[in-house]
Parts: sequence; structure tokens; C-alpha cells
Amino acid sequence: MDSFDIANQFAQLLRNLTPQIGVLNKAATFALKNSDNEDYLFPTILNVLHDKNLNINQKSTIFQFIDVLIDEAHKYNGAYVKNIEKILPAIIKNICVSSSNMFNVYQSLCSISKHFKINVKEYEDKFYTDLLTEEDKKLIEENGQIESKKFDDHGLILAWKILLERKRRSQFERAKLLRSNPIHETVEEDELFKVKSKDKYALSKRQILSRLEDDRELHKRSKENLWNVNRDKSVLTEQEFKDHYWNKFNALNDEEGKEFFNALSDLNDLVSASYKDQQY
Amino acid sequence: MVDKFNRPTGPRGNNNQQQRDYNSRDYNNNQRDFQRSSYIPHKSNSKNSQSRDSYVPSGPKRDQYRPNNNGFRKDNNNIRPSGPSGPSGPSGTKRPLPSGPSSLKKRRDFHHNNIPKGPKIRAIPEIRKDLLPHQIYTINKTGPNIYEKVQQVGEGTYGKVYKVKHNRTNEFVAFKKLRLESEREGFPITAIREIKLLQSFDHPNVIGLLEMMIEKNSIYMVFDYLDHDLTGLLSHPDLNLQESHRKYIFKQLISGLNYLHEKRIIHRDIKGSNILLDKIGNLKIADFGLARPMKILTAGELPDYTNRVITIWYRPPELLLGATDYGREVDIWGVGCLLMELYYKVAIFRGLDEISQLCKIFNIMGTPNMSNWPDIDKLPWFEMLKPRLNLASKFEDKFKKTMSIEAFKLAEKLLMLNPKSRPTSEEILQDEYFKNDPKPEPLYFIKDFEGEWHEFETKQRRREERKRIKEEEDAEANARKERIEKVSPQCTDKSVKTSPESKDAKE
Repeated sequence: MDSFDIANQFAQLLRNLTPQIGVLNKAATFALKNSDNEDYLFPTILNVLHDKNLNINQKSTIFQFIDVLIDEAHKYNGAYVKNIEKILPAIIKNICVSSSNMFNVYQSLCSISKHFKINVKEYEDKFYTDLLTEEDKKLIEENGQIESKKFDDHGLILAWKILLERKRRSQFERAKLLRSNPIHETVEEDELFKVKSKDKYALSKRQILSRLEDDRELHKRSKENLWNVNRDKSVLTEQEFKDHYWNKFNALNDEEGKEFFNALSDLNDLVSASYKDQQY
Repeated sequence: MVDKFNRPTGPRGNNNQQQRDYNSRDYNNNQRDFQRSSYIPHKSNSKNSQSRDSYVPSGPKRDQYRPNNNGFRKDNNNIRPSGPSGPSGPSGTKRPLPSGPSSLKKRRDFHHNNIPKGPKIRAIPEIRKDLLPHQIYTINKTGPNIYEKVQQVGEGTYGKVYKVKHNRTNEFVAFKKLRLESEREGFPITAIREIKLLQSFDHPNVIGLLEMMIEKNSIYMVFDYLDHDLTGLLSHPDLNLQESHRKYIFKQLISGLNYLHEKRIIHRDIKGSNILLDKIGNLKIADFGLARPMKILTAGELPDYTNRVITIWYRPPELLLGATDYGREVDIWGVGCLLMELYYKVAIFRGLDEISQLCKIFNIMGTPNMSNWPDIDKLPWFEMLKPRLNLASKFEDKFKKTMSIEAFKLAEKLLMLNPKSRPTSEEILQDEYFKNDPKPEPLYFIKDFEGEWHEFETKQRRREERKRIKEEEDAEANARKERIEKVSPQCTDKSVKTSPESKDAKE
């Protein structure tokens, strides 16, 4: 296959992505195995995202794919990482056209950020705070509109700032809504959630329900690897047991650590003694 | 368990011991081991027996319901569980229990022809005189039909529930047959969790697991049988609950829930059909298929549970908005819904899916705002499902007039949109609602109700009623059609179809 074919195949994979770990992994593996053609493949992500026929749920899934891709990239000498960092702001802008994608994007961006040597804790924490400024609050009272901020940053930081800006807009809209006079009549769900909106960036009822189910399934699957350990050598050690299992619930200090290994040793002796035949 | 150095031996040592016991048992020849099978209620364990008011188990005796598999195949209506199947198959070399139907097919040693027939009936050995009464178990031989299925009383994703009669004591128990056909990965871990939880319960308002039974490839959980469930009972046309009766039911519900919550257990499926009631309204919380113990968290750690829990009508808004770090408050919302049902007989939020459920809730309770639920925008699905309108609460207008003031105030607290604002079960028990008159009173009058009222039967009745009405309507429509044809025989079929009267008939 030449580069063009590979890019075409990759585009097809992205269009047919479903939010299942297996499917996401498969697409990531394809991209990474063909990382020789990275220069052809990484622009494909943006091309697919700009496709007008791509629905909002699909955009969110593509971002989940990027998360998986970057997570796996270390096995292929960090392929795609630098290039994706460059286009990350554009990707966020594209995916967050609908506020429905904001939470998923936030989660994936947190995960992606771990692979860059940049401290983004400040932005991660900000996401859950009140982002409205005094000026914004004044505008809410005056029933005004806020203008989008422009940023000079680039790469990961810019991506975070764009996401936080989207969040700020969403908070602004909600604050304005809550200032309006409450309605006393009973309303239908279409009116309340605008699930039949003609806005192309709004999710339909069917899309929302499908997203809920996908998220639940993904959450369930994410737990399947909860206790997996990336072990360099195929040797199981007591240290691993302490670090990965015991310390997860109750971190031990050095002194307690020693006691812990002593206790394990006692237990092992006890178990060995319980066998009729010599074990080792 | 401790070792000789007085240190805990840990689960592994334990298992080894169990395994050794297990392997050494020979059910056909070693009756003593067999009688000590842990699932058989101990005779001296009178505490549990006394605490169960509706059923005093005589204790299933293995010899009594040892299956005659051929007999069972002839008459599937009779449930005769075999008790725990022996650890050794016919050859005694394979794994002790089949893990499920899929593995069954693979196992050559578990072919129908090879189903163990159980121990041969032997002469009753003479009882040693130095044994204490509680060391002696019943060894009477009886016919094979120790349990007899009466009727089905429930059904869910887990399987089916049957009312079953114990032929010797004439008492009824409920058999919950686990659905294992669809299990690909052996015995479901959720069932293990349920059994483990049930075994730890000892409270008058929480269902007790009497025993587990295994027959062929089916596994049964055996419970106390209660005549009604709350949904079924509330659908009874003659039911006229007074405030004292509602308090009697609700207080028991909260006591049972408080017991669970004190044990750090979240029920996660509170609904009318899981609240069982006996002939005078004594209540037990049942169905722990979705229940789970709460995690013990370290500083900064958040619980991470699935939000695919709770029947949609009773599901609180935080779960509908995707919360995975919830707690006992999800059950409190459910009992809030049930308190309303005690007054209105039907659930007040009846949605078809997550979106319509949220819509029903917001229409009645109002949409959340910054003051009553400031953290709502942290929920995963909030951006997707945020209300685009600002709705006022209609709860007071709709319900205040028809409830007592204390009941209304309590319901208002239980149905707080923000889970953090809901009271704990402990606080509910201290509420004015229970302190003020009238005092709780048993529902003696439901003894006179004919039949048993469970949601399952109620649904059946409704289905039959709908069928009857449809048949009547069809008959009426046909009669009308015939009348029209008689009155205007010149009309063609086409003209009849287009006349307004015939349209009505069609409808």
C-alpha cells in the first residue's frame, strides 16, 4: 500500500470508530504500525473532523482515539505525539462546537496531558470552578453577550485555554438562563432539552441516549484493566504487590514497609510448612 | 482463623483447609461429613429462625430432596432441588461444579446419562448416645417431592421467582432461580456478591436467605415468602390506607434501609416491587442483585461505581446525569418516591428513558439552580442534558393538599435534587413524621384481601384486563360495522371505510 492508500484506509477507520476500547485500540495500532507515513496520517485526523457529515458523537469518539493513540505512542518512539500537540487546539475547537462533548474532551485531555512534560494542573482544576469574571457577571445582569478571548499560546496550553473558554461560555449561558423568570407550565422534553433542535451541533435524543450507553460501557470496560500491571520483566515480586495493590489502599512508610515484608515472609514460611512435600 | 502463633492465617490457608476437606469428602459413604454441609441450617441456630416471622425453616435435609432426575424430567412443575451437588462427578476426577451451561456442553463427564443419582438410601445408623441434641440431624427419608412449585410470582433479568410450598411443613418459601443460560463466563460474580450480602443480613425488615440449592444446572436462592409487594398491594382496588398504616410501612422501610446503610451497603434498586409485605403489612426489603458495599476510600479518592443501576422511575437525578461517585443518597431518593406512592398509589415520576425521566422530575421539582445544586455542572452528562428552560417547582401545588403536613415536608426533603441535601436514613427515623400522631399501626385489614398482590400478578391482571377490553372493543366495532352494513346495504366496502362512523369503529 502506498501512503495515499494508507491515509484513505485510516480515514475510513476514523469515520467508523465506535467508543469501544477494542475498536479504539485497533485504530491506534493501525496508525502506529504505519507511523512511517505519519506525515500523511496525522493531517487525516483533522480532515475527517472537518467533514460536515460527521456527527457530534463521532467527533467525541475521535478524541478518545487520540487519547489512546498518544497513550500507546511510547511503544513506537513517541510517534504522532509532537504533530498532534501542534494540531491539538484546532482539534479541540472542532470537537467542542457542541458543549455536549466538553466533559469527554476534558477527561481525554487530562489523560493526554500526562504524556507531555508540561504542568497543566492549574487548568485541570480550573475546569471545575466558576470561570465567570466580574465583567461577565455584569454582562449577565445587563443581558449582554460575552466575546471569545484570543490566546497567544500554542500546543497543549492553548488547547486547555480553548476548552476552558468553552466552559466559561457555557457557564455564562446558564447563568443568564437562571436569571430569567421561571416557567410554571409543564413542558415537553423536546422543549426542555432541545432534542429536536435544528441546530446541526445539537444532539438528537437518539444520539444522547446512545452516548449515555456508550459512556457506561466504556466506564465498565475501563475497570477491566484496573489491576493490570505493566511489568517489564516476567517476574512477580513482593515489591510489586506492595506498590500496586497494598499501597493503593494504605500507603506504607519505610518502617511499615519492612514490617510488611516481614509479615509476608512469615506467611510464606507458614504456607510452605503446610505442604506435605518440599516445595522449592 | 488463627494459626498456632495466633496470627491470622489469611484466605489462602483457609482455602487450603477447605480444599482438603472438600476433596476428602465422599458423599456416598461419609454421612457425617455430608450432614455438616455448611448450607444446612444448624439446629441450634435458633436466633435466625426466631427472627423470621413468616417462615421458620425446618432446614432442608439433603436426604429428603435428593433428586430423582428421571422423575423431575417427567414433571417439570415440581421443583425438587438437590441441595449442593457433590464435589465429585461420576468419575471423581473433574472439577466439582459445572460453571454454567456453556461449560456443561464441553464436559463429557456431565452428560445426562452420567448425572449422579445421589447417595443410595442406606439403613439409618444407630445414633450415638454421647451426642448432644444439636449434633443430631434429621435423617428421616421422605418422598422426593419435598418442594412443590405453586406459581411464578416475579421475573427479572436475574431469572424467575416462584412461590413454593414445603410439603412437610406446609409453609411457603420463595425460590429465586438464577438465569445462567446467558452467562458466558460461568457463575456470575454479581450473584456471588448478592449471596454474600444476603448471608450477612439479620434484620426484621431485610429479607433473609434461607439457603441455596442446586439442581441439575440451576441454582436457586431460597427466601422467606411474603404475600404481597408494595406495588402489587397499592394496585389493590379496595386498598384504603390511613396515615397510621403509611407510617407503619414507611417506618419499617427506613429501619431496614438504615440497617443496610449502617452496614455501608447501597441497595441500588429501591422500588415498590422489591418491598415485600406480609398479611399485616410487616415489611422486608428484598432483591440485592444490584446492591453493593461502599468502597473504603483513601484521602482524595472518589468512589467509582456504575450508574447503570436503579429502575428508571426511582433513579435520582444525579445518576441520570452520569454520576459515578454517588453514595447512600441514591436510595433515599427511591424511598422518597415510595413515600409519594403511599399517598398516590402510583409512581410520580414515570419516564420512559433517561431524558424523559429527567423531564418528569424537573417538571415537578423544578430545574436545579446555583443555590439548590451548585455542583451540578460537574456531573459527566450535565452539558448534554442541561435544561434549556428555567422551570419552577410544582411539587407543593400538586401534592401538599393531599398529604399530611409532616409527610409532605419529609417527602420534600427526600426528593431534594441535590443528593447532598437529602437526609440520611438515621435522620429520617428522627423526623417529625414519625414522632407526631397518629402512631404507626399494622395493616390488619389486608388479611381479608383475596389473593396475593405482587407487581408480577398485577401486571398479569392488567394484561388480561387490557386484552378483555380490546376484545370487547373489537366485538363492539364488529357489531357496529355489521349494523352499518345492514342499514346501508347499498354502500360499497370503499364507502364504508371512508364514513366517519366507520373510522370510529376502526379506532
